[in-house]
Amino acid sequence: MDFRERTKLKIAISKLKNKENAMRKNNIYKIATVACCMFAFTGVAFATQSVIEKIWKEPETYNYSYELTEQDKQNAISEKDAKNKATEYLRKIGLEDEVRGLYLRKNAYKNEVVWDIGFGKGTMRINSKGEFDSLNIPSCNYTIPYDYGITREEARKIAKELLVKYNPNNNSDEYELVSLKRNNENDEDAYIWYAEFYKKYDGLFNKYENICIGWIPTINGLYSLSFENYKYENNEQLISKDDAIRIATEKDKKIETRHNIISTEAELGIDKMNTEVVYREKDIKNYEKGTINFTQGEDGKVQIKEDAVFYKVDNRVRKVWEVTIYYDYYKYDKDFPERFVYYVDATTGEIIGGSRYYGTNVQLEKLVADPHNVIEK
Amino acid sequence: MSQTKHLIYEYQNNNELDLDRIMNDFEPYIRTIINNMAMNTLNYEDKEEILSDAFFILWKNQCKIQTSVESYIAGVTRILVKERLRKRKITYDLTECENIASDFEIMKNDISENEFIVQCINGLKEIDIKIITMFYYYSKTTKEISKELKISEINVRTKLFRIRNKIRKELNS
Repeated sequence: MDFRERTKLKIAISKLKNKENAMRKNNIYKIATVACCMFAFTGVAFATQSVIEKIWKEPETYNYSYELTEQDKQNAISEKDAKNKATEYLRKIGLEDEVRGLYLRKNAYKNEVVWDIGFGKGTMRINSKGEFDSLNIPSCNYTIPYDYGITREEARKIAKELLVKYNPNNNSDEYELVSLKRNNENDEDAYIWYAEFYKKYDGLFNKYENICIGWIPTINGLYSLSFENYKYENNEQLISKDDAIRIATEKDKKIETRHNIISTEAELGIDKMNTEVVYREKDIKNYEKGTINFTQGEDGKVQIKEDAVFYKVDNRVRKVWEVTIYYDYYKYDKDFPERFVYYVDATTGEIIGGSRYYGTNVQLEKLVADPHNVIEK
Repeated sequence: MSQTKHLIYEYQNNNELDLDRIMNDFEPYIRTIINNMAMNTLNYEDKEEILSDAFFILWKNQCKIQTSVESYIAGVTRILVKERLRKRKITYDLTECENIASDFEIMKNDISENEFIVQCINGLKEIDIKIITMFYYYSKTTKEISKELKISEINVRTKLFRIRNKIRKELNS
């Protein structure tokens, strides 16, 4: 056999071996057995690689506008339903306030439609499907007691009690406290405390399933409350670390042609699909300057560029390899090489998003290390 | 081959390494290294195997290559020749390749994977070799393979199924 054919054969067997290894590791044999049975009964066979369904779709474009379209209005729940949902939720958390004004509003940047709702003490927001989003009650609604000071140990305990009280679902034990901050340098002088909880899966945090609570100590008056509820798909890891680095590096070499790669690193994390790589690939210079779709007018106001194109992707939350690529370029500091983080889907190997500087894991490390976060200090 | 150094990404096209172009550009260079090191101590089959091993390892590590393709493939080839000579119990002057010991440690996994693959290849029929290359290297469908090889699609699938089983057995052993 010619050495060329022999090399290609080796590569083919190596690919097959890697697929077999991935299947062994992840008990995909079950799927293969089903496929084989179907082959026996129906004559339909599945190629090994076709078992894994791709998830990334080409991003769709949307119009950047604050104006509600007829379609937006039709897709959102009605005013009556929004009012009922809001009242129901207020009662659930022990507030007797009456719902007052309701406004359907469009967030142009996120291309999302939300209901802004006023009630006796404050305001709240629910999404177009009627799911609770956030709530704020200004502190002027409360008579702050003279002895409001509490210790951080007490704050930790109360934060967990408030989580159980305000979490609309019966799954508070699935959340973990990741941040505890206060509005003063000293524990005893703080009259507002803030706690952030993230959901945790097998040692990995999903920051897109979070509950944040702000409260007035001693009287435990609710000051702010917000939820994010993007469900983690708990997808299996079939892609190896080396393959993830290879996929990200190959992509990056096509996008970043100005600087050389000096090193790469990768770790597993949970991240949401986003359009960062799409915009970066389109125009890396403007992406880095933050001017890909916007520019500053002569009056200093931010304007949309004439050739602006806005992309949207599904809000899927997946297990990914967060592959950080470091370049031989130091824009800010000699100890801080420029970098980009790619999110390589751990099951399909597709690049489903990215981040200019940090993946979720590093963001979380920074959150814990933040001197204002007294969770472990 | 020109005197200009080549970087690996120059050979990448649509996320794939253009192996044919790499082989065209570097075959004479690698043959020269092999011949200079092995002289008449290795036979033709050994030299051909080293040539194919070198390209396979280059493909395998394409994302990790930080130097030029020339430097990388020359280093890999030297290690492979040395390894082959060691297996044939032929002594070789180590001063010719001073860094080989540490480089060999880095490439240990690649060499053992290559050995595993060679083991798998032994015992494959010619038709199996064609099918596996067409399916896994060229990403052809079973329908396309059946047309090209003039055998039924069911036959192609059955053969693929058997090949996978064989690899699985090798992995388990």
